[in-house]
Amino acid sequence: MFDRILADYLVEKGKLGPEALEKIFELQARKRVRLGMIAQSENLMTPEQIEEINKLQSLTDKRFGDLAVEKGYLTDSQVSRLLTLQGNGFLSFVQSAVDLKYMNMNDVVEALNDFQQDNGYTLTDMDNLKSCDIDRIVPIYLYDLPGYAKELIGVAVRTLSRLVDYHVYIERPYTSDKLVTENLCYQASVGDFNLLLALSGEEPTLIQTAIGFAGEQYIDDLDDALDSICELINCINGIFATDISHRFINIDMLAPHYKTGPSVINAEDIINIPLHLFDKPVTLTVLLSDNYTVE
Amino acid sequence: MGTILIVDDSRTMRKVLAASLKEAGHYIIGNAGNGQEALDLLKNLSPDLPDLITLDITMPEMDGIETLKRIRAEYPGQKVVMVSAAGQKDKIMEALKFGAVDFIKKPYDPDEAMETFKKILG
Ligand SMILES: [Mg+2]
Repeated sequence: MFDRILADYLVEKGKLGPEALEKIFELQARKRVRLGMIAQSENLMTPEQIEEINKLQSLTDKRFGDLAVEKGYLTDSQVSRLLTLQGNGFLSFVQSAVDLKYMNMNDVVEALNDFQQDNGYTLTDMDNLKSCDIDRIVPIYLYDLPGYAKELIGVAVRTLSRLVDYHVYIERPYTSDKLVTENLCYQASVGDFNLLLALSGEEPTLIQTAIGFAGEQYIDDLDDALDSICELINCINGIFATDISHRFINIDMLAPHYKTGPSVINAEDIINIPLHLFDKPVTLTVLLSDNYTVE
Repeated sequence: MGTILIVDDSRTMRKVLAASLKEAGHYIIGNAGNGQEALDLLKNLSPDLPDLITLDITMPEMDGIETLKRIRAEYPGQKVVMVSAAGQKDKIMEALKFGAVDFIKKPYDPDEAMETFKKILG
């Protein structure tokens, strides 16, 4: 995730052009290898075991390494060695930028310092960002949000990364009393507290999102796309509901809905999180209340 | 091999499920987007009821649980498999109490879902 965040910063500061960025991402994508493949090439897992974990992964919110440990195929220390071998997005981004001679290491160090100062980040924040671990990065952006919102957004970003776009990234959230957007998919949940989760954005990005989730053969038009994004939201809320149910907090998901074209949510304290899916902006919206209108 | 009625408010999810059911050799006898539509369809089909109904839990107007109760009241032998997102354990328990034979989870793992259908339909 941090590779994308840093890339945006470098473009904004005029250190990299969009074409350079495209080339860097291309090289980076060729370098990234799946953890399962590394495990196999290191003779730590059989293809059947990898297949089994991949399947399990499609059903749960857990990572490959964690599942492999649970099943007894890998130890914790083997997983951390594999993760090091895999490298993280930040390092492979820097490596690719340097290999392609768009930057040298001094430029990178300087850019990181500027980035840290411009954003007021601590050294710990920077370490968390550089880890490229979603669970460590998301809290940096959400520190002043209510607990349930933080937790739900964490689940949402993890799920989007797993089921839609591995390169999803987040910006600072903002609150408002009105969200003016387009193509709005939303689902309310009611129970021990009330909740609204929504995703909205431009048609091409949402179609790409839906294809990433459901598969190209099932998405023919914008209605199909929004319909399947509703199911994606249902899936995110379901995982969140399971997590909080372990603490004896219960919510029920109501049927999701969508609205094509210009859409508005009116409510107090709407939390909006700008996200990037396929490097294009969408808005994730969380409301901890059932007091809202959609028009 | 069997005849199946798919009940889900999401048309993409109906398409996804239908594709893997067809591939496994089953016949889709109908699609319904909500509970009432499912009940109407069953009335038309009766007495040639489907071998199995897949019934989504989260739907507008009449949800899967209410639909299940009505189906089982009207057609006591009808086999129903519930379709649920994560986080609906209580609803699944309730559905099983009201006579659902099993459940599958969304997003679908096609292999696991087909395994469940094979178990029920043979
Ligand atoms: Mg549904």
